[in-house]
Amino acid sequence: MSDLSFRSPAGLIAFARSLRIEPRPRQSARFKLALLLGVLAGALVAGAVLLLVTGFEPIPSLRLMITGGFRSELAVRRTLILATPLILTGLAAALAFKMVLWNIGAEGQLYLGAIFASGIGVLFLEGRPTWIAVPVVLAAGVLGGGLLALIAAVPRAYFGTDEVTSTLMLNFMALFVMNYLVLGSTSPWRDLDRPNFPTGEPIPEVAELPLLWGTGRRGLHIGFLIAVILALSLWSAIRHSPWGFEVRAIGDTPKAARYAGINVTRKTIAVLVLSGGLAGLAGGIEVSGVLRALEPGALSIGLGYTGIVVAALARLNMAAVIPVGIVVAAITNSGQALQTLGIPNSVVVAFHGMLLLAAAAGQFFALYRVRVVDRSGSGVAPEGKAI
Amino acid sequence: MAGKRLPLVLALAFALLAGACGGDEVAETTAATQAPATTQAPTTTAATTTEAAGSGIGADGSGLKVGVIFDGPLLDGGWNESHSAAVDRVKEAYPGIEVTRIEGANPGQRAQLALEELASQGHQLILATGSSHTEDILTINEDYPDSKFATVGGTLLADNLAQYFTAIEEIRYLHGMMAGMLTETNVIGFISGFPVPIEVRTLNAVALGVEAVNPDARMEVLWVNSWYDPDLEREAARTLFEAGADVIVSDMSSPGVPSFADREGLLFSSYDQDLSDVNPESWMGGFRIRWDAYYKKAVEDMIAGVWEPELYYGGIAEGMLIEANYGPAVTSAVLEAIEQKKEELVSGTFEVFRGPIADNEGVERVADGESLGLVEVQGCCDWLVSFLEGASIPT
Repeated sequence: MSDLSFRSPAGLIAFARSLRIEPRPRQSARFKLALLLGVLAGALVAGAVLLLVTGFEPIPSLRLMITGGFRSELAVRRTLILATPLILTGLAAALAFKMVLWNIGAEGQLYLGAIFASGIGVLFLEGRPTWIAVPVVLAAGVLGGGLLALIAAVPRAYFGTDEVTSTLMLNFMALFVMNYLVLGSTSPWRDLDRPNFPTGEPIPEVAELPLLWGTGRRGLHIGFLIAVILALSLWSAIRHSPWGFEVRAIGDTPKAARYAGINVTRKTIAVLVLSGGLAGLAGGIEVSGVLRALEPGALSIGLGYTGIVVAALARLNMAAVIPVGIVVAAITNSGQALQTLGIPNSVVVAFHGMLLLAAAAGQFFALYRVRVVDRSGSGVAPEGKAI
Repeated sequence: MAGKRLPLVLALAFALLAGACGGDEVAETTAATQAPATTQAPTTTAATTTEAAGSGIGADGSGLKVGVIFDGPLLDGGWNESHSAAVDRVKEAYPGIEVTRIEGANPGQRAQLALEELASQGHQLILATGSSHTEDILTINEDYPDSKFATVGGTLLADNLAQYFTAIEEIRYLHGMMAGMLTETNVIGFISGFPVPIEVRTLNAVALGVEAVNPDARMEVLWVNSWYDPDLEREAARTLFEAGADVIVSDMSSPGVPSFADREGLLFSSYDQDLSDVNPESWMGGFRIRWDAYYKKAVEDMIAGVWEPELYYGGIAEGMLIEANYGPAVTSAVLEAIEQKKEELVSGTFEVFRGPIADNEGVERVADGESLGLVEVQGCCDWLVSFLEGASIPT
């Protein structure tokens, strides 16, 4: 080790090559908690430095960022309204990831869910009773998201096509379709009576989600309750049902699962479609509970991608997705208030990114550890080059 | 084994999220250095401040807090930057005002949060610069009767909601005339993002301008289905060039059209830019939007205590549209013709959409001697003028 010198690039490369990433043996809950708190503290300090460097007072900013999403009844309601789609897209990611299916298409599946929900609402639901209209709109959302996932699921299940690429590409397809329907055409999704700039055609009132708390467009809708119930049901299903056992088995060792007689092909399609359906439901809920029309500008704010972060922070635990979703929503919502302190949005977003990245890195280090090995000895195999 | 992909996927999610949140690095760093200046406490000079009756706001704007929200990054090289620069000019004219800006206020929850934050902090004048902020204001405005809101491009008003927009058809009519006089191939290209009412109205204005000076010319129209895409815009320019166009009126603002025009020796105009220095040979002329024409009026009205929920529609006469520099290809004869028409526009003896105007299917759209009202003109157009024979709006 003593011959390693960081003063030359060669020394640095030699050092980098001597690093190994390997799974960490099971750790105590206390270690995991300490690690989480450690990285969060680190992120806060780094954020404070970022604020200082850019010329802002760190302490009031940090306080506002943490408490902003909960400081009033309205703020709490708004936090829960934003948490709803994040919980659902978080579940979508967590479920697929559990089976080692990298569905990063929640973003597009959410768009397609919103397109289906608003389309059904605008075209067919005028004048129907609410008890029919609301379930139909939400089902349409599930269908839309599920269908988009199906496009990636079938080639993945039968030919092993890489689902990272296919689900990612489908996100852009869904985005372009959504933009086309409202901005680029005179489709039923667009409100043709609007002057100058186009907006979405409002869905009929009967298709709007009933409210749990508050009134009007700022009320907390039943979508939040649906998301929470789904999270708890999935958590329970994964842990206790035969179905959940199969998902976990395939995720751990697909080959063994196959030998055990589990139909991996069918399961792959089912889980990806269910995952897409959850993201699609988020889109349907955004349309019927919050926006009440297909609004591309309001929907394309990264709800699906944030869901991946939520799932990772929750360590793919379906129940943990609920609190993580709420906390991420609160931090996101306080961003607007932070800007009134004069902090530009870019610094706010960078700060959020640091926090989330630190938390995600903490999860990584909880699962893996980095070890320095001596390469000069003969004991190191050539595959050690791969880091 | 496969589990190791989680960090990779997560990294990808972060990258995409950063994209979704908008904002390039250049904009971010500049915004970071600029923002503190805009929020510093107003330097109230009580001695020189004369208070207008009733409003409690000084003549230099002291005591007035102005909030501005943007639906993307502040420095986007286009729409938001134009609004932000306008706010800077207002601040220069009324140094007493305190300005707070909130970026990334996408329509929906984010915009509502931003509006509520500003209103609850006592901002008396709140400007929403995004194209679909009307619904968000109407969601929250009744809770904040002491704040006056104004947003761009809508026609819905409320007790504390005004709307403002600019009559781009005026300047684009002049550009149509220029293109019609300068073309040698008698083919004029038009490029825009989406066939939304405002863009179809702009296209109609260009067509009316071309027709007025050169009825033998024809127009070729392309929609690129994006508001900013250098590659698509360049390809659109190429397509129009191959169809014979030698002048392109583009409602886009990326370098796509300018770079192609430079290479092939075309003339072009773009949206809310002055590229006379950047592309001196191919630049025909353009316009700048001065949103502060309304912003200054709103501040003045607040000072005087006479702010009203009006429908403000500003053109050349109001100073909301100003001409960019003209390129060397624009001859003095063309300039003279433009100048004359501009005077008619300013004096009101000429209006772009004054009848008789028929669409290209023969239906009369504006009767002889009539003109479109403030609301109707902003709802226009879902039809094309007769000069655009055979063309149609994609559906």
